[in-house]
Amino acid sequence: MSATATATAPRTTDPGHRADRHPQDRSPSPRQEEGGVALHRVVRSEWTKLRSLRSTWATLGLAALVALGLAAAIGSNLSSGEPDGGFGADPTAAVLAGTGLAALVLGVLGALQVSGEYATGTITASLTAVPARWPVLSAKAVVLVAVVAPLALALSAGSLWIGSLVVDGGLPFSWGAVLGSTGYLTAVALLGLGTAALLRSSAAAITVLVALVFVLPPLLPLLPWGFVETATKYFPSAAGESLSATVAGTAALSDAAAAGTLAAWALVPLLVGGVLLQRRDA
Amino acid sequence: MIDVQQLTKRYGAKTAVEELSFTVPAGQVTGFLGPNGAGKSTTMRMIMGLDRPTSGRATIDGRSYAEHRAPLRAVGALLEAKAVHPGRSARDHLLSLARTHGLPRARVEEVLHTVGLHDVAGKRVGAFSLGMGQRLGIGVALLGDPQTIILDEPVNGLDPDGVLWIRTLLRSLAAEGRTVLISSHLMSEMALTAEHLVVVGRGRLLADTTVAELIATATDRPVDVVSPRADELAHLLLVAGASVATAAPGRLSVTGLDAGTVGDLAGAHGITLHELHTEPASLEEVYMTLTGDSREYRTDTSRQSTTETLEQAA
Repeated sequence: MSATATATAPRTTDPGHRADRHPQDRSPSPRQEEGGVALHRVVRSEWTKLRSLRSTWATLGLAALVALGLAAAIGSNLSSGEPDGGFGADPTAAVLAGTGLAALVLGVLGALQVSGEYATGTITASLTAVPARWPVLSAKAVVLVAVVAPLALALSAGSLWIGSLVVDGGLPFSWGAVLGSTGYLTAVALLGLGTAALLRSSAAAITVLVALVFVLPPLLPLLPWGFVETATKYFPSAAGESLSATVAGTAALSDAAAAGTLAAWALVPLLVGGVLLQRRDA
Repeated sequence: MIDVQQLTKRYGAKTAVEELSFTVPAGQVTGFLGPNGAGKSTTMRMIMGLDRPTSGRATIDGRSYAEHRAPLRAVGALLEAKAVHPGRSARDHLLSLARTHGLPRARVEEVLHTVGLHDVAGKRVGAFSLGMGQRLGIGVALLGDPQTIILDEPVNGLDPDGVLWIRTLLRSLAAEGRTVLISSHLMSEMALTAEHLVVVGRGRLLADTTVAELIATATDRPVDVVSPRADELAHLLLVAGASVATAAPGRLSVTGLDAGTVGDLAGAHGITLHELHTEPASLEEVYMTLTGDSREYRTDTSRQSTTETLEQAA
């Protein structure tokens, strides 16, 4: 009660006595100083959130199953050095096609990291604990990359390894293809996170993600406008394929342009989503 | 102390909260009362920095919520019941929030004991009842051992044991010198828990008072009179301008005159009185009168007064 009395006393006294107020009245109590919000703490918090949901592990498992399973299935139907157009021209790209589907699964994981909080109301607790807000989204991105990038690397390398076992005539290992595919998967995961930060709803975010990654790229070249065809080269999947292409002439973009394109898809929605998170009512 | 100054929130043309000002002092339980849709939750969300005020300002111990370096240690809040991912356990939910402030795991266990969820802490929240979800929400509010506690409708969904528990908890928190603000649309609950009342309707302040003062504001209370010559007295009272209803044979309910005037009138005419007293207002009645114009939804049957019908008969 004595603390209460000191805190309220200056309000009740004559305003003329304000100058006499003790300096310690303004300083925060030591209890408040010892543990504040810090980015590394928010990262631990987001890791706790991600690891404590079964759906996270189910999603990661599904991504692995899809990538490696398709690599085995597609690879067993191929033989190297037998160019027959399509994927047959680049068996490495064919074997990595499964990771393309895994990318979508990982994008959904990224989206649910944010939209799941809006759907369940957890966002209120999150933003109350971290009223600065931007650390929440940054920490989600850090945790997502920390989980997805190593898995993406393992799945890409694993797909090629499986390919080398099942493709008739073997498959040369390509670090370029592995790193390109890893970058693509990580970028799509972040794209999912950013899209969800923008749209806040799971259904909307996943729809947009599927449209950008899967539906629009094969559809756009059918439209009668030239610029659309150029734009198609800069979609995430096209940039990802360019980056992991191993056969000369099949890449639509230079490696630098492809990497830049993927980085833009990964970061721009996230940054805009971060700005909106700051501005909007929670 | 919570200080709300000229707080306004508009959504397009609809004004949810309008120039609301009040303070919530430390050391007592303050009830934030109003009908559904009165702007209580919006006000609380603005205090907690979740919604941005159109104008005005809310501070907690001199700073806006977002200015606190360790907000969970300064303020604990329950704003939505069961706002937890159903796939996460109660323990992990609390732990994820504790992590943001570097609070130890032991604090999470302590809070789980306090709110009585320790035995189910590892279960997924999706399987929780509304009451258990409410207890978890209160656990979140208590996590940082905060100086200020803000709870939106804390007794919703709690069983009678839980209601008693939260009442005792809130009183003891206030007795420790903390600031406690709880909202409710039920006056009866507030009457039992709160000492200080802030009443709002349609986003505006209707009263900022104590429970006792609020009851005292009730005017025009009916006077209950028992007399062997009740019929004669009723006639005199009607002539004097009062409304009179016969509550039972020999018992009158008089409005429009105070008890003293009724007694004087009876005395002047030599009429013996066996009973004479003013019926005290119930907090619920005062509240209904206060918020009568500001309730969003109401039925029109409540205002049929017997006095009116009797007057017509007379």
